[in-house]
Amino acid sequence: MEQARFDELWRDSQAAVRGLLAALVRDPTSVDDLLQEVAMVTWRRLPDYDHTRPFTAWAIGVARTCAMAWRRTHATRLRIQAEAAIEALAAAAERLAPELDAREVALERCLQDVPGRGREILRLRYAEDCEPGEIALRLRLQAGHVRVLLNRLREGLRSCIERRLAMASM
Amino acid sequence: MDDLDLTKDPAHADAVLREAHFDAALRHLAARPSSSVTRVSRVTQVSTPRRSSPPRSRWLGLAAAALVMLAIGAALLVFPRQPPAAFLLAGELPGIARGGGVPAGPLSAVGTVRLDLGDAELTLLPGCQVVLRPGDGHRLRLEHGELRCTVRKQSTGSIWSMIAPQGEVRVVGTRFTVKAADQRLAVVVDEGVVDLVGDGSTRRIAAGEEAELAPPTLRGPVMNWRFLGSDAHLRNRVAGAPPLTLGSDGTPLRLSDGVQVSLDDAVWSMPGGDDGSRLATRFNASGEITMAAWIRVICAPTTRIPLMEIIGMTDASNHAFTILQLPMDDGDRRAAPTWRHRAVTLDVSGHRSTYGDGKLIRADVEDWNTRGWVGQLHLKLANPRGHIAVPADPSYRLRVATVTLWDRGLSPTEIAALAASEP
Repeated sequence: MEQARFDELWRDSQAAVRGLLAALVRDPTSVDDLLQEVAMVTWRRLPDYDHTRPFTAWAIGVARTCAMAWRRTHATRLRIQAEAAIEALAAAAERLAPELDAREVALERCLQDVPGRGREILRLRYAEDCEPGEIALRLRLQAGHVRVLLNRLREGLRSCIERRLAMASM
Repeated sequence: MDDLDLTKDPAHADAVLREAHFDAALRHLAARPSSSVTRVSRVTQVSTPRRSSPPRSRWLGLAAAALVMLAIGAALLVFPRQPPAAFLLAGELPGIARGGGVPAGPLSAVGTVRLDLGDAELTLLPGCQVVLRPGDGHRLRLEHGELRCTVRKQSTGSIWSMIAPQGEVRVVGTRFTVKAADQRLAVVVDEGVVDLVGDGSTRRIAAGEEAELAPPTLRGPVMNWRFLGSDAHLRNRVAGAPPLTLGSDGTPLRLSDGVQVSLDDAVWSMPGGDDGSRLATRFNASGEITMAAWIRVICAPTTRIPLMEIIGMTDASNHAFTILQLPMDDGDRRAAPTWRHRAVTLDVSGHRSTYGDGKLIRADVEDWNTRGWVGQLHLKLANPRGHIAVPADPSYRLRVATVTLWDRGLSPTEIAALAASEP
């Protein structure tokens, strides 16, 4: 498979793979680490890919295999331990793959509508991994106020995603 | 979460997955620049692998880098040895990241790359390294290499500017070429007029003229603390700099071949008064700061807390404000600890660069610099987040050989030279 085609398929699969790993792994940094690993393994194993099968399902299978391997070496980093539960989440990821991709696109657009201060708070919390107290120090706000703002921002983004999905399905 | 519920009820598994995906996607997307950031044409944006860079590693980095390397093997020859945050590649490779926005941070042109910033068009020649910053103020920093700029006419009173380690170029609307190499900055103006600012003066350069800025006179460190194995004192090696006192919490220091610090918030505070004001004046004047340290983590903490940070007071209300923070990375958490050189710089335009062993490992942009600093400094080791009640980790042990502060943002070359020395 040419590299450009792989790029496209991987891009379309990443939301489902990310969702699966985030459900399995405890902390965000480990999600990133495992996602990198899955991307690399998927690329390396590309010659094994059966082109008659959906690529996303295959990538989720690779992610499940990587997660199983992590269960042996990084058990404490996984929040889900039972093999059957991992299988159940992998099946859900395969089932929901198109929806998760649509949700991610919607979230990206919703984030663009968040005004400056809100966007900065989201960046500090989710990109910089700052606790609300630290955000409060940086922005000279009360920590409680930051928590309230974060809750509002999250709820606003959820509503925005649902609105966009509903509009797209009309 | 009950693992059993997931296997019994697919709807429950779906709900868990949607929730987890929302958080993960938010973390992934929040790290991107906002939609107002520069859009790029004819280039491919590739995240650089950063497995060990907390708080976020770019998940696609390794895969993307691997794909690019396979596809353009010849281009490997021109990759810089220490990759910055992203590469801009000329050529026909399709975009990997959705959207195509260029992130704020260091960018390196592997081929010839054209960027349209809206009010300026840039042509980065191969090997050119720049740092882009969305928004107002200094929007572009030329780190190294050659760059051709066509700046559209600015509105009245508006100045488009770019900075380089040697100085600043201010334009009203013009076409020019600028080159930073061998510590010199050269500007050739094709149309219009530019002001070349640096070395304490401003020179106006008209069309057809060219000018060059010599390397700035590099100022040495303003503070250099060396912690000696058998010496119970913190020896300040910079003449005239104020002495250090232990923090008010009285945390004991256990000295061996470096300072071994328990996690309970070891703080060295520089006293206020005349000494504090004098030092603050230097940071205020430059707007820049660099902190470098030789450290060895004997026993890593369970969480990725920052290694150390500089806290200053930013206004009369005595609000503590984090000036610089050295994050912990996987290299610090190795099972067999070794001395590592860690550094972080903040320049006047808010660009912050974090280094590990002389390599750039993280770059981002703040909306402040040290000009608001009013006169106190605290260097906190080991548990900088203590002030927001992160519980102590009693197993954490850190040794520090030196901590050095400069009142300027050191260049990547200078940082690499420091890291090549001995602790």
